[in-house]
Amino acid sequence: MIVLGVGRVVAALASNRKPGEIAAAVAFAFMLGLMPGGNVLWFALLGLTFFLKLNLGIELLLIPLFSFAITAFDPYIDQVGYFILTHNALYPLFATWYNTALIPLTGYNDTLIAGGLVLGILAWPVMYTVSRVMVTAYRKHLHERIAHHPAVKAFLKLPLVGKLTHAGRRLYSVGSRFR
Amino acid sequence: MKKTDKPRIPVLFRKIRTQDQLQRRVLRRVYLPSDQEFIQGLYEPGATPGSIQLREPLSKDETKRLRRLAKGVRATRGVLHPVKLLLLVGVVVTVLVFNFVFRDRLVQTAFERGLEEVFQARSEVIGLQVKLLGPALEFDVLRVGDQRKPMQNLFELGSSRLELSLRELLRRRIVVEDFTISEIQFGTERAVSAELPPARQRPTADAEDSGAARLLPELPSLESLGLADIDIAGFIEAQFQSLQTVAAIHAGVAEFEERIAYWDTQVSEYQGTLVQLQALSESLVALRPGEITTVGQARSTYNEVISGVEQIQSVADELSGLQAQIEAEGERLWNDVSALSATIDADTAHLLSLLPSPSEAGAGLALALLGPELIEQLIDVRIRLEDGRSQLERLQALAASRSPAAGSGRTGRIVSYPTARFPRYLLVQALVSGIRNPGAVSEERYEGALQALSSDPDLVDEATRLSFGRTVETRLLAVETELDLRSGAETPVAFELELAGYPYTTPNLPAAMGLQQLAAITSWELDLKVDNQDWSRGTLSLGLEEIDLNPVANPGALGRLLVEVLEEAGSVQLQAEFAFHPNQAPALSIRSDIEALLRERARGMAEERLAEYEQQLRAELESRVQAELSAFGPYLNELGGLQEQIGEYYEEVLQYQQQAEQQRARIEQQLSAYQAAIDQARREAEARARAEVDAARAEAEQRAAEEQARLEADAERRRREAEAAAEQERRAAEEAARREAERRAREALPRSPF
Repeated sequence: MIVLGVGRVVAALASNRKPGEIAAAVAFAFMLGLMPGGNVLWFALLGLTFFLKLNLGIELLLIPLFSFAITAFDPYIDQVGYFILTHNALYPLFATWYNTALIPLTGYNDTLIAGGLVLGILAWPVMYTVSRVMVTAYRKHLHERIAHHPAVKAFLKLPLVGKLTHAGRRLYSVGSRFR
Repeated sequence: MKKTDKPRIPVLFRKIRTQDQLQRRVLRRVYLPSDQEFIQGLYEPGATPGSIQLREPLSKDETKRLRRLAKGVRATRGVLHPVKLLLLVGVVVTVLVFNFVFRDRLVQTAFERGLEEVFQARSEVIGLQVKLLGPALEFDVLRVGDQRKPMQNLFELGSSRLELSLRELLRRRIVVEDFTISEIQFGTERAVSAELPPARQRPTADAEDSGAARLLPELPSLESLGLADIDIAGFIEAQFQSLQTVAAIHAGVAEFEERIAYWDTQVSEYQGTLVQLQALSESLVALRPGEITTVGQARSTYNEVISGVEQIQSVADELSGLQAQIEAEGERLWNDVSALSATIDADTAHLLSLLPSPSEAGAGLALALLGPELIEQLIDVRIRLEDGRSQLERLQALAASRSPAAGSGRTGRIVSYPTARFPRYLLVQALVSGIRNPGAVSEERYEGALQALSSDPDLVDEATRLSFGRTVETRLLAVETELDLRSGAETPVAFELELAGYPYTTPNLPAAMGLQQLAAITSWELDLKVDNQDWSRGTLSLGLEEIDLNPVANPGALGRLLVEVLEEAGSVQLQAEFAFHPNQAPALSIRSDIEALLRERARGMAEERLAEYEQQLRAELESRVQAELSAFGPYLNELGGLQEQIGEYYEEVLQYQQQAEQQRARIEQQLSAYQAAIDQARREAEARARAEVDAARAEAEQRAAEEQARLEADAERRRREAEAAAEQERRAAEEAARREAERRAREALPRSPF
């Protein structure tokens, strides 16, 4: 799975897809990683990305990685969330939401959810821009060199790699029918 | 149409006519430089200026690559996936259909789970229907098991309807605006145990924790009332080891034991001494004074005999002293034991003082009689109230709990906003009323109401109130409960109970009461409040009428007294006040209107019984003390044996002493004879010596005289010789002097010149 995942990422980087799709996938993955999973808001955001044209494979691969790494920063996210949820200027708004239908179901009054969401929104343009620049740069400067490197060629000729690549393509072709 | 192997060039590329179109439609959406270069390389200038066209012919690989690129270009158009949107619509429709089909079952399961969580017992809801319009829930039967009695239901509801607030439902709150119940029953039997699996059980407050259980030790015992039958033998048995007499006897026995062990050691030691004395005596007896031939031998033998006699005498003296000591100390110890009568009297007085005083007879009898039963009832009420409180608290916990995020253990703090007007769970009101067996003699009318049951009373700002009333024939039951779990509430629990005309039988009467059963028609009025310090205080008024007593075969004094007094009184009115706390000393007092009558009758009875007990006690105590004194028997026997043994030893020593004395006398006699012979020999020797001395002196005097004469002759001769020598020297000297004088005279004359 890890090899397939890495292969998907490499394939995506090397494919003729918009750099923005990969960058948006990274940015959304970071946002979802900042928020604790399993709540309505998290699933809603994930669902939203499902309908957007972005690289879902990269997003799904990166969400657990970001989530795992960001756990160490939970106390800071909690503080940000608490600051926002209890801020005098926003307090009436949140109180109104609290008494409004359906909104409480999102669990927005959880400090980690609120903090993660706000930090994710703030980080989204940054993550998007940085990722896009990196993808472009990769394609422009690195991809050809890597693709034609003798070591890579030798690696790709390995029977196991060939099988995995074939399986990945089959999988991709099946997934692409739903795009 | 004939199908060729060569793939067709995509329309996207075929429609390109100018460089601008190529850039705008294709190259802008191709992101790999190598692909861009590939596409650029496929076009060549057209016939008209500024136009471009695909070069001909394209290879199969080039065409394939173009098709793949065209697909990629199409895929990157726009930001939304229309197909996925359609998929979403499909999913939503599926969910709605699923909800419609399985809704009732899902809600029923959730409802049962919630009830089980709150009541901690199996619950069943039968025939549940969710009415979206309203919205409302309806069910045919709802059974909630009793956590404390798993084979019973706490309550069972008949056909009921809950009207929910849609608005609050959308805010994730379950607000029941009205709950109409057609029928309610309590304590119905269950076919299946209501016990939850251990993993879902939560600990409950036990009866011991209620604090009321600790009231029991404080109740006056029937013995302390002076009316219960007292087992004097058992009473003495219980007190016996703490009596002074027993302590004195034990001390005496210990001292006897110690002294006899000591004396036994002493006597054992003399056994060896006696063997030595026997050998000594035999050696003395074996001496033959007639065989003594010298004075030295006689003296040595005599000294030996004297030493032996002294040794035997010393042992005899010691044995005599030990015998006297044993006799004296044994006598003293026995005197000490014999002087226990004063101690026995003191112990008797002490034991009598422990028997209940007749003046207190009957005091607190009502408390002793009904206290345990009342406390049991109070504990039951308190436990039920605590259960209700726990259930409300579990409802709060349920409201506060959230399902943890699937696959995520990350949770933050939940910020609550005070403007919420409703808690997560709220039952505004539930009503029940009905008639059972209408028209029959046993027609039962009941009605009840539950109001403001919520998971957050602070939001509702109202205490939860439960009221229930039931009448059957002449019986009446009315319950009012208020559970106020609002923060800062002074009285979290208030409970009022009124029962009238209920037959009641005391199930657990103490055996000492002499009654098998006490049955009566009772009326109860209980007022109980639990404050915020966890103190349960209240009053209980209990009326007993139509009292039916069933005494045991041999009811005893107390049984007879109770039968007599209760039959005379006809009815009893009891007033109880109580206060108990989980961690502090409780209190319970009971007053009754037959207190004075009971005490008067009890006092006379107690006095008679006390006199009997006193006699029994004295006899029993004497018997026990005598039994204890028998412990001295073996020691006295041992003492006698020791005394006898020491007497025998003494007699034996005296015998040895006598033999030694006789031997000494014989040796002294022999020694006297020897002394007389010695004296005679000495006298003869002295006479001979004197004669010899006289002869020697005479001879010496003769020799001295002869020597004297010889010496005198010698001296005369020497004198004459000296005188002749002196005369000769004088003449020589005179001649010399004359010659000297002549010489000097010649020298003095003048010298001739010749």
